Amino acid sequence: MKSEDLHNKIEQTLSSFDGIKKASAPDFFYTRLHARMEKELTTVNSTWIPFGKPVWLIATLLVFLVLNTMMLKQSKLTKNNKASANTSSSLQSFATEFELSNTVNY
Amino acid sequence: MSDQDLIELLKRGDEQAFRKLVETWQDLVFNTVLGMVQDFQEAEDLSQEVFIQVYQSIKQFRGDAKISTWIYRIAVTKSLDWSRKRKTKKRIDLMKSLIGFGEKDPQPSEFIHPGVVMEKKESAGKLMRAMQTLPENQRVAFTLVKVEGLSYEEVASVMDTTIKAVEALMHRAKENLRKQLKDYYTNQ
Repeated sequence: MKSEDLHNKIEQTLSSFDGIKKASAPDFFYTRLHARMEKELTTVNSTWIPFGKPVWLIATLLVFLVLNTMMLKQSKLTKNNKASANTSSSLQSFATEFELSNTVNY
Repeated sequence: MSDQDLIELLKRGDEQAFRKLVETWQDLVFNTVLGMVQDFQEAEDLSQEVFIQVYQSIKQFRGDAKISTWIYRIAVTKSLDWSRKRKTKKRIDLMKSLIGFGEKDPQPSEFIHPGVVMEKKESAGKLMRAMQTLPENQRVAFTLVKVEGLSYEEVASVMDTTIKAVEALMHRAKENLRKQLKDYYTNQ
C-alpha cells in the first residue's frame, strides 16, 4: 500500500465514528433492572444477618464452648468449696461434742 | 421536575423517582458502557450495576456535580473495573494454555457499534479494536468524545480534570490509534 493511501485509510478509519448515533438501552431495561435489584438486594440483606455467615457461626460456637467450660469449672469449684465447708463443719461439731475445742497447754 | 427535586425524592427511597431516573439516563449509561466494553450482554449487565450503585449511594450524592456527570463517572468506573478483570482473566487463561491447562481464549470478533453509519461499519470495527489497546485515560476520553458525543468541557468534568488535559489525552489517543492502525494495515 502506498504511503499516501495508507495515510488516507488511517484517517478514514479514525473518522469512522463521525455521524454515529447513540445506542439505546435494550427494551424492558427497567423491568429487568427492577427484578435484579429485588433479587440481589434481598439476598444482600439476608447475608447481612450476622449469624448467617460461617465465621459468625464458628465464633458463636466458640463463645458458647468457652462459657460452658467456665460454668463447669465454676460449678466444680463451688461443689468443692461446699464439700470442704461441710467437712470443716462436721469436724467442728465433732470437736465440740468431745470438748476438744479447748486448747490444752502442756 | 428538577434534578434537585428528583434527588430529594430518591434520597427518601421513592420508587417512582428511581424509575424516572433510570428511564432518563439509561441510554446515556448503556451507550457509554457499550463504547467501553464493546459487548452487548456485558453492557446491559454493567448498566444495571451502574443504576444499582446509584440507588445505593444516592444518599452520599452532595450535588457538587451535575447528576449526569455523577452517573457518567459511575459508568466509566464500572466499565474500567470490568476491563481490568477481563485483562486479568485473559492473562490467567494465557498462562494456563502455556502450561497445558485449558485452552487459549479465541480472539473476539470485531464489535460494531449499532449507531455507526452503514458505509463506515467495517472501518469502525477496526477502530473499536484499536481502541482496546489504548491506556485507560485515553480510552475514556476518546469514548466519551467520539462515541458519546460529549464536549471536552463535559469530559473534563466527568474525568475530574482540566480541558487542557482532555485535549492532551485526545491528541495522544489519536496518535496511538494511528500507530495501531498503521501496523494493522501494513501487516494486512
